[in-house]
Amino acid sequence: MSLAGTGARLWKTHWALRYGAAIIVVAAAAGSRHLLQEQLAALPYAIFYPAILVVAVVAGVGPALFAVVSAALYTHYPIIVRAGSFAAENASDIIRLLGFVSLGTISTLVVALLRIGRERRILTERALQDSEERFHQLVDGVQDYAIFMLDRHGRVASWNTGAQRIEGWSETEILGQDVSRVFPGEARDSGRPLRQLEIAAAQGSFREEAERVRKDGSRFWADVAITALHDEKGELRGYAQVIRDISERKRASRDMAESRSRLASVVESAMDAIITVDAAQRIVLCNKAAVAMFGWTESEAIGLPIGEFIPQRFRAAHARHVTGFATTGFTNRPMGNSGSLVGLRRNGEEFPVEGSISQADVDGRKLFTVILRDITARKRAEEHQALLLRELAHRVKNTLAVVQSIAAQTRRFAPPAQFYDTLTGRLSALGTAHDLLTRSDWEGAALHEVVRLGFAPYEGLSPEQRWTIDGPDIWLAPNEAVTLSLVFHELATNAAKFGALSNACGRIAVRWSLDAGENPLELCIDWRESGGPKVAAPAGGGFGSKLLDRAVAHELGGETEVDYAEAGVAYRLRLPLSAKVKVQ
Amino acid sequence: MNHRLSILIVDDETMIVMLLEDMLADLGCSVAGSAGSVAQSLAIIERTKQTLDGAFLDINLRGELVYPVADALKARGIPFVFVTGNALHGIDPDYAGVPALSKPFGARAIEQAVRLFAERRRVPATA
Repeated sequence: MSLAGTGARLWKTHWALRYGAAIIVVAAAAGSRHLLQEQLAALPYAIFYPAILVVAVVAGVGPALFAVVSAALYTHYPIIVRAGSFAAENASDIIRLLGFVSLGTISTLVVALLRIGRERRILTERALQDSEERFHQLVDGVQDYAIFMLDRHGRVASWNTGAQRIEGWSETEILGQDVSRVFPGEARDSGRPLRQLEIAAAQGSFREEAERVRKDGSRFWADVAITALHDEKGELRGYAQVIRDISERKRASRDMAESRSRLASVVESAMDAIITVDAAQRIVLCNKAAVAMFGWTESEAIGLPIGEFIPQRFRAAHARHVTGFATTGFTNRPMGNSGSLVGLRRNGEEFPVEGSISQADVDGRKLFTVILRDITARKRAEEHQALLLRELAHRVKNTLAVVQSIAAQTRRFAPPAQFYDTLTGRLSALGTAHDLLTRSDWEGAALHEVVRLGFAPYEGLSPEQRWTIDGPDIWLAPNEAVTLSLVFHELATNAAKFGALSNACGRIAVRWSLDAGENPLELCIDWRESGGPKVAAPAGGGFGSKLLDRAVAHELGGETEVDYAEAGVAYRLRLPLSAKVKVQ
Repeated sequence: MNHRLSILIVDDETMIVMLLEDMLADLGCSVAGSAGSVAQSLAIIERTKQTLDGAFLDINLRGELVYPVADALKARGIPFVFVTGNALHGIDPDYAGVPALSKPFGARAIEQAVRLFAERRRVPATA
């Protein structure tokens, strides 16, 4: 290329070379004419025609015309010099000259036309070649599409790089194979590969989104386009198939659908109300919990201003808050941080809520979503808890004062040696009374249970139970239950120390009854000991009898009678029935 | 204290009444009466108003509040203190100036209250 190429370029670009060549050729022709004067006398120009043709072919139109002129001048030079002017006898010479010039010009132009035609044909052919090559490169270079040809029978006739990449087979493996190889088994069995080709042949093309298989057997989702190819005569020659792997897109859209439906079910099944409003604060979405919370059906709620869910007095402030929130740029935040939020049910009932608000731009639309929780029950529980805590504090302190009192009384009456045992006995009676009350949530306790607890320390001391407890069901309020627990603890303790439980065979009967009236007013409890050692009235009276007197008189508004009979001590407690001591 | 101070005890808890009775007896006071309800208390005040020198009032008498008793004592110029297990939340702000003892209470607190009653008694005597 280098030397020949450079020469060719110089030849094309430098006219002087081409004109110089023309002169040389004409000169050579002139020389030849001189030598062959004898033979060419009749045709003085004949030798110049081949020269002009050579110049026209080799150097182009310009040099060829130049050669015609040069040859004419050369040939006529002797005539011109000899005659000094054109004379009549030279007329034939002039005709001959004109003939030569026109013939030379014509043949130059003919050669030029031939040359142009040939060059154009060469260019066209080269362009065609180039374009075919580029097209092949293009098809082959496409990575993302499998592009291949099938012959009339559905056998693979070409296979691009994309096809190899997507399907896994190399060109040599697949060429000549039936197209059904790229179909999953069930599609192949049902005859789909052939049917698709038939449809494409009948209608010109066929499209589908369907599964295809790779060489390794794995499946992928394909976007398939089949075009039937016909020759000029309309005969079917084969098919072009373009396949795109759309598994990713399929997965993405399936994931999207899945996540959307999952989200929808979360929203629907949420325990909290979820409400979405647009920029005009009209409801565009509300879930089941919102329907239950506010009392509007979903279809009624959609389109309602959110103000319908808010008590009148808060509406303006709420609208301002939402507008303000829109300008913050925060995506979400808790609502009502300045105090508790109030919702409005359809029936006009107001209720405390807490919630959060979030905002999002969806296709240029501003949407606000609030998530609300009805905290009525929680507020109530909190209030109840606060009440319980206050009540507990009160009760604990009261109980400490009671313990203080028991300790003071014990110190006052019990001998120092017995102080500790006596005190712990009384505290444990207090404790079991509290247990009894705790079981009923401090509603109260049955008299039967209270009496039984007094005897509890002596259960199992002898093989047979030496006390009986008998009477109609009586309910005691908490304080009365505690006080009577301490009373019966004292009576049983005294019996164990000095009375019917101090020997092996004494008995105690505890029996109570109501007065006979239609609406009984009084409860009469008898504690009667028998079979114990002989008793005498104690000298100063102990804590037990003091408690009995004071508790029954002060707290229960009743009276006590004690009978220190020889057979055994007998107590009678008369208690008026009230809300605190009542028939169960 | 030339003569024994006469004191009213209002508390629904018998054991606490007994404790106060003993403590007051140790301080040389006499107990004019003890009550576990507003009605009982008012009855005792009505009966003993000439001789009553002071009162210990439990605020919560099983749900019933003792304030009517406080008002009755105030109207008669008889000093009193509250005794409560609920010192922080229990007292009506209207009675904020009234001294309050917290349960459980020590002998010294009772003694101070009694001294207060004794001082108040001396005022009309000197006037």
